Amino acid sequence: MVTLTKLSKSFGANQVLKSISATFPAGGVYGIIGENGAGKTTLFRCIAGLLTHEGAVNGVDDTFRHRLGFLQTNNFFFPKMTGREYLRLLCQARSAPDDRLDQRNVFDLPLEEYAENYSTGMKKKLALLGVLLQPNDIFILDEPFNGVDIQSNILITEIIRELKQKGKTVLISSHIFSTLSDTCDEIYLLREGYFVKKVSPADYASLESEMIDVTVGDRLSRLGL
Amino acid sequence: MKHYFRLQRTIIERHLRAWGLAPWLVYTLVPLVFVGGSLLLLERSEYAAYAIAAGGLSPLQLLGEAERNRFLKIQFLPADYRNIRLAENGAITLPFVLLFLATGFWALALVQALVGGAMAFLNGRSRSSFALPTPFSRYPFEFAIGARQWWPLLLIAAFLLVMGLRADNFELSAFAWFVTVFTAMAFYQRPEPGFYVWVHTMTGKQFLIRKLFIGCGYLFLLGFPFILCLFLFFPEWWLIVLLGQLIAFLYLSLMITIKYTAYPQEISLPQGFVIGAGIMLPPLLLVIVPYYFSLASRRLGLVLGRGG
Repeated sequence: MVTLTKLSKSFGANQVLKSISATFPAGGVYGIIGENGAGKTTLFRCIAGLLTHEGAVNGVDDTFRHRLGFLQTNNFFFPKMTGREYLRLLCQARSAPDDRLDQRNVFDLPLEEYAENYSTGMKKKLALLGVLLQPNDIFILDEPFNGVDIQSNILITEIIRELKQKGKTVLISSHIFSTLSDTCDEIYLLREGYFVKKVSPADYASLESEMIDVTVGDRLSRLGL
Repeated sequence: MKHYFRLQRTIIERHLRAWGLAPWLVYTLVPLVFVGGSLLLLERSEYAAYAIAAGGLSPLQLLGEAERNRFLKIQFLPADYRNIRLAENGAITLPFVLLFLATGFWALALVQALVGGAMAFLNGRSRSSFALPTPFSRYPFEFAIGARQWWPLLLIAAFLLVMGLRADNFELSAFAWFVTVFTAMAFYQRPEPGFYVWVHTMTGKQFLIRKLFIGCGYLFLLGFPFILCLFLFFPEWWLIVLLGQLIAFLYLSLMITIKYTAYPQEISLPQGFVIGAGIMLPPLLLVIVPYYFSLASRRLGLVLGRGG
């Protein structure tokens, strides 16, 4: 479980998150949606403890961040580090076994090659695999579907369902609405620093059409195609 | 093209100012340190010329990096691109060529000029699927990555060792060994992104001890062939070699602790001076290393959110 209490974050005069409060119980998948720059990544980085913030982020105990796996939107890979070395590093960092990596390489990544040379989708899959190999209870997946092929898309969706089955807490952001509506128990709409809406599965269709209305608006007619 | 070089100068000066250095001071000191340092090294051993030559070639490797050259090729006409690359390599190579000419290393001057020129026409391979195997993959990441990035320098060190052994010269052989030590220190010169520290479930102290343990273990592995040769070829110097190994461990420990004292910033100029002082006066390390260990533990504790 993760609880946010009056979480705020500013960068200078720019307040990105404005007193956000929410509870994400264990065994649930929670989607966070919002436009580019809405603060999704900032929110995730605050929850993970990578950014200082005002307000509180709590788990079941003080050590919840030891069991928090964070898949970032853009993952950095050192030049000349192989995929296998990256996975080993992430396993060792959390005292997880780093053997049987070939067997656990469910995305069939070329682990002996430099991760830096992987395609965008392969990098995303490598970073996700690293997080999945750790003994985490909470998963923050910032755009896990970004750039991955359709087969991996299906596999990632099933992995998220499996995590839910195992009682893990999963927070996901995605710009592809269908990937969230397929997996999430609740979707939060982040706009101008606030959670403006919390939507349950029964209302996903209306949320999607509302988003289309807001996003498209009169833009097509203005484009004059 | 003129704009390109002006931009390069602006970028370099931005970096210098970020490190707290006045560009005019650097432009004055660098040539003095280069000439003074080189002459000092050459005075001690003429074999130092090979190390200096290697030092002159390593920046060319960076300039020939594939992604960078792809960008330049897209932006500039072929003739301008070629001139840029020749000018860049020329600017790096010329001081070395002049130094070798002035000190009578004619052959080395010629080789340096030819290699410098030739490397302007060679671009590093990119997206190669081949990963250079190293014995350091078990515990990533500094030594595995560092050995792959700095292998030419390690090769030069091996070459110097062979020269030292052939000439029955302990000083040169020991110098070759310490080239590997200084190379290993360079593996730790840049701070890694926050994620790579944050991901560890450890206290700052535990994290640092682990880094020191792995670093010193791999440093010994890297230097083992050199140490073995020194013991076999110069058995009367065994105590000096043992002392050298202890100092090598302390050098690396100093680098690691100062790196994480500065973290997530880069090592600052005053901290660089401390490293320099520690290298020049090894007994100081017995005080400096524990002091920076304590600072670095606290700093890492903040990043890891788990106290020092």
